[in-house]
Amino acid sequence: MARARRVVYIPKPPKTAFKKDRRAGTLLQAQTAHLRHALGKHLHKVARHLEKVAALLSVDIDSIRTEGDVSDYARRVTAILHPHGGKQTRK
Amino acid sequence: MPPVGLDNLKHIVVLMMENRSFDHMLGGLKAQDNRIDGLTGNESNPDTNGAQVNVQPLAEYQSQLDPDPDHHFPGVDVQIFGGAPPAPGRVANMQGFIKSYFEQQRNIEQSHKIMYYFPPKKLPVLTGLATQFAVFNGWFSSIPGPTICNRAYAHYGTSFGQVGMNIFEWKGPYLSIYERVLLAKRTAKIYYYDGPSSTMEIVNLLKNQPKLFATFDQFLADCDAGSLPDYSFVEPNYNDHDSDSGAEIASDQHPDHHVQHGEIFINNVYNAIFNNETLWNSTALLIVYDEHGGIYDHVVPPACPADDDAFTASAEKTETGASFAFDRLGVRVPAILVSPWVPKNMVIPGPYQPNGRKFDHASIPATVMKFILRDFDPNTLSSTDKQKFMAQSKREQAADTFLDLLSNNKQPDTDIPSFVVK
Repeated sequence: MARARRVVYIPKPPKTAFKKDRRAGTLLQAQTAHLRHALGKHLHKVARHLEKVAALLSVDIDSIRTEGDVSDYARRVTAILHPHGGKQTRK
Repeated sequence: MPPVGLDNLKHIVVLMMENRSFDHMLGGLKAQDNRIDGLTGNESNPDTNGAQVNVQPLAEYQSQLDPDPDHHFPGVDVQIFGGAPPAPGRVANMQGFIKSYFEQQRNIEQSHKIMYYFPPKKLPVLTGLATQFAVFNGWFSSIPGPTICNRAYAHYGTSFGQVGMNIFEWKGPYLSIYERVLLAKRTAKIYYYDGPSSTMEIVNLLKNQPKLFATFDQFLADCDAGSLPDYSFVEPNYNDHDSDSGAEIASDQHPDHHVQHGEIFINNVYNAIFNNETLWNSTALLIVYDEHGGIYDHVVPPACPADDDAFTASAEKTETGASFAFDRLGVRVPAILVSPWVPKNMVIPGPYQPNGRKFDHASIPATVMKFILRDFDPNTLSSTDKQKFMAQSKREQAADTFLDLLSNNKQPDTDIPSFVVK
């Protein structure tokens, strides 16, 4: 049963807040490089995905420009590096 | 006897957000509570025309801090020291924020926006939690620099000499706090938001997956089931992306991500813990930001004991012309400790106030070691593992811990705020 609390209403952001075509900042660029590095570093762990890994390692990092691009690359890398959680997007 | 709240403690949860300074998010609270070391309205920085520009409560949720303010080591050096080059005797004065931001676009009007802060009513979740539970006047980022090296302090108690965003390889001898927890046969997890957002700490800790990593959905399920690990580190969504359920808006509050969505994410973490009564009564949630993101704060980062000699960053790495021994903290960030055992409306004084204390991200592993692992006997480990378990960087050894703030008295549920999205 829900416990009684003092209620404070908060607004939610407008739909225009979503901008997946926003240019990726330095943090997301660094994260992309780190993910790519992790793929190479842990090759022994991801050997059964070698074709996918080769494709991901061959991606020119400089071509990953937007947040949508970063998220797509991160999703694919994470699905390999952390198969227990990385395959799914949030529901 | 420890306080009842501490005696009941079974879980520590850390939620680390992105790139906002204390004054920017919480500075406006000073007007309603003078104990909070926020803004009087008279704080200022000179602009490049020499005019003094005061702080103003004009911060917007999005589209204001674009371009992203500089928060790399040389830029933060300008912000803290007003642009004075490294030299013996130079004085930190927090007078270089506008100067630093101006350099990015050479636009005077835009450069003034680095002084903007949020009026408390625009951040009901963050300010609501800050005034209900405990707010730190003196929590600083660990390094006057960017995200990756600052987050490393939360994970390892050191950045192994890094002052930037480069990939760092674990050098030892210091294990991450998660690995130390596992050695003690306890449980720890890093909950990243989802695959497309992923994690910021995958290079060195991946060898421990799947034990150490899970998604935010799993965090919610673990809270619901009462199966949260002893120590949890939660990462927000770092990017805007599509998902099966539609648009996922970044929730990390990194400029230029929408700040309101970060508020909702903070609330989701808080609610997930509150909604399981047993968990709520046995958990301390720390909400903290990794660094200030180049945004104005008025408190001079204090000196601190240097990190290990081997980790001193060279002048080439700092790009300031001087080396850095990790003997000064970074700019102050918002930090709030949420627990029913925290006295209502607690303000922990900062280092320049009476009975003041200073905290940084090395306080996180130091606290987990001191409280979660307090009953663990390292003599049960092999000599090699004992050595690994016991190794703490100089910065972690010197860091203050924060669970002494838990008391004997529990705040009643009926007084606890429930934030409802409308």
